[in-house]
Amino acid sequence: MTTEPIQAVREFILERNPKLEELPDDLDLIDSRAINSLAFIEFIFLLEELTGETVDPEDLNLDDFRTLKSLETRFFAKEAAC
Amino acid sequence: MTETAPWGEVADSIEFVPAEYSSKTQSETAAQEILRCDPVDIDTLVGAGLPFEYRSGVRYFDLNDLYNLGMYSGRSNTQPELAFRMLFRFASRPVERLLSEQTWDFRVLLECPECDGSAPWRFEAPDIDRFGGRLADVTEPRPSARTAEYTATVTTTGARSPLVAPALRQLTQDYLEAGYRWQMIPPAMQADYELVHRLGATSCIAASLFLAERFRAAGYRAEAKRGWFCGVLGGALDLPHACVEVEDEDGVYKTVDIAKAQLAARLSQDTRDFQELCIGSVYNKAIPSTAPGDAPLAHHDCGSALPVHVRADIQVKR
Repeated sequence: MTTEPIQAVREFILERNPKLEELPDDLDLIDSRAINSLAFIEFIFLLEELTGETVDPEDLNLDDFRTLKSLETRFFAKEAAC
Repeated sequence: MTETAPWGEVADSIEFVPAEYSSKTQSETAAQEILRCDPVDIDTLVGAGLPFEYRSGVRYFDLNDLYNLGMYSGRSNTQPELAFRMLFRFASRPVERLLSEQTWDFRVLLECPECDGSAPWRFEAPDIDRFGGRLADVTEPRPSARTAEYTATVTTTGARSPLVAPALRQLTQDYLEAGYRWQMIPPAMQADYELVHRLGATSCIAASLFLAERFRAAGYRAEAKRGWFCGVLGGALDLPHACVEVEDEDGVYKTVDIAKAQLAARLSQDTRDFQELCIGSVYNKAIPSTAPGDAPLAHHDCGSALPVHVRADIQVKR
């Protein structure tokens, strides 16, 4: 089931960006600064909570975090397939 | 300080960045987010001495000050505490992982603010061969205006080579036990390492400059060198790095990563092996550069007086 975790991700980003009225699936979250470098850490902890898996900071690829689509593919697709 | 000291007490425990080195770029809203606190807490911090500037009716703060407040707040939920908890996870793991070969996609973006036009760039590149690593696929920055890029594939490797000279080990231990408090400090201020230590603070560049001077005074060849710390969240956080390179009495050049040893000890109880690795050995998460400890990593010959911003993105090569 992908709806709930990705919705939690969406809410996290919108809560920290009150000026964002909507969050398109293909918005570049890094370049648009919707997730800045400091909020990025909180965001990783959120992803760990949602997936139940530990993220190794050394293995991170920023491209996995660029859009809601890429986040879903990287972190939630496995759950969707179950 | 208790685990949940009032913000006023936290402020009292911090050495704020002196005005001459301070750059107040973070709005009040950003400060609240970094510290996960309320507007009234910001008022408390300002009342306790947190420096700020008013611009267009908004208070702005130095990011280093906010970082240090968060780091020492004891609240566990501030962004700096979360960041360092995440970053230092590696230090509790078996150190063998830090001794193997590791290859990195190394990319550095150079940006000249208020650039005066196209000109050559001077970049202090990775200097890894001396410690068993290697460079490949290097692309040097070409003359340009405003921005340029340096890219390379960097292979690092580790080696156990602890300091053997009793004098060097003693000087290192003395420093670690001196009680200096690790803080985020602007690089320009870190070069003023006597000031930093007079304030009772420390940081990687300041600590390395200080310790290198002590090593030299004891008769050893030593120099602080700047570089990069790898595996920092895919380049999302760009932290300055420096260590001391010293010729030990066995004739081997050793690296002393004094600030990492100190920070690991503070952030995680189970890092004794990593701390020992920092005292002379090389490990695969650090890339030294050709830059001396107190020198910038890049310069643009356009004539602008403002320093070049250097932002590294270092990711494990897949």
